[in-house]
Amino acid sequence: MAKKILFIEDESALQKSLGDLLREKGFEVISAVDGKTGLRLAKESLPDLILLDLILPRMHGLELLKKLKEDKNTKNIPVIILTNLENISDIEKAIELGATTYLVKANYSLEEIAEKVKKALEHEG
Amino acid sequence: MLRKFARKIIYLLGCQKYNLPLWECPSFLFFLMGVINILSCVFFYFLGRRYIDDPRIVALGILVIATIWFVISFAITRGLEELAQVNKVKEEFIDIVSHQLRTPLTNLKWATEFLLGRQDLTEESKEYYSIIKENSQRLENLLNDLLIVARLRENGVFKIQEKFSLNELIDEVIRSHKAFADASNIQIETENLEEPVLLATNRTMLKTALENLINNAITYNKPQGKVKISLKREPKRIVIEVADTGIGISKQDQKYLFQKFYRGSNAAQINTRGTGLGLYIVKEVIKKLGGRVWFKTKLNKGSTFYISLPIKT
Repeated sequence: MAKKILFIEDESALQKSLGDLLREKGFEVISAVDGKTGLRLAKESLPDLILLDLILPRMHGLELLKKLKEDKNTKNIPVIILTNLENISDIEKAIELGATTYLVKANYSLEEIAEKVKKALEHEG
Repeated sequence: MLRKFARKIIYLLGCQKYNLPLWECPSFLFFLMGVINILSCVFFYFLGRRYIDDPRIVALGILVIATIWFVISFAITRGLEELAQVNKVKEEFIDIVSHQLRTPLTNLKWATEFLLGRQDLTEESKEYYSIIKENSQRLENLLNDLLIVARLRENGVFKIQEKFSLNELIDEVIRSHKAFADASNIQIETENLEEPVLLATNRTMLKTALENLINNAITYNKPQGKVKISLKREPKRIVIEVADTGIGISKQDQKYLFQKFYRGSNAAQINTRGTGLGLYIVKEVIKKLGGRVWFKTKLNKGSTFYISLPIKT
């Protein structure tokens, strides 16, 4: 069965390019363009992995992450932070809250991100 | 206990707004100077009394000196406070730039990459998409370089550490330079990369340094040239070597090579696009990661750059 990825990102262009690539690679991708919808979809669909942007409308990515880690159903889902904000305190906080890793979007190509996603999923079994 | 007390003082003096430690916080330094001022007034009053009979003269002398000192220290701390304010504005500016400028660029880059990955492209569209991709990548690299230079003074970024395989990182960098190397007719070879090396440091920053070195090794090479990347494990450190068969670096250029915005005379002729930031970034980044960078070179024969990094066990 295809692994399910929840992609929470408010930039529709990124939703399209990375989302489409991941679909082509055989993943099932669910999209959310704001924090609140992202949280709801995470709880409803229990994905295998969450890709999370930090600057999101309606709920900041860190708050969302905190809520995910507090919920016993979602706390074990690996979360990869995808951001362009190299704000040290945000990154530290995300790791402290339990994010698997953080990736600065500008530093990676699409294929590299897809590779990281694949690895994170393999790691989780 | 002491830490708690320090935190309370930081809070009371408003130091947290600058995000500075106690010893760099202007209002704390002013407070400290005041305390030292009062203590030294009392001390010198009693000292003066031993040699001068009239206490009023002693008191007046001390009052004058203390006032001068007070005015000077006030001016210094005001200056420091302004600097701290400017620094804070700079950090906020960098945050905004890094997010607002990079996001549309990433959109552009990823969308083009996606299109380029499709099978049904004509040669012409492939060529045009490649132009868009290459140029958005150029803009992004320039922006990244400027951001890194702006951030070098902050230690925060370098505090983020993760455990990772150096071999995989090198592979990743080689893969991302493969197309560029092929287009430039340069062959990339590796040596001693089989034995896995685990590092615990800032991966993103190390990647930036390696990318700069490998990019230079390809750019300043000769046609049909080679780039060799190898690892040498020593008891307490790992040495990464990036060797090329390129144009080399002249004697005059060697001593300025790691300076900001400096470009070698022969390098500037080959590639007009460089900013002169690459090697400066490599050196500063590696220094911050606790390592060292050096090179050996022969004009028209090639250069080898070495990065050594401590292995923490």
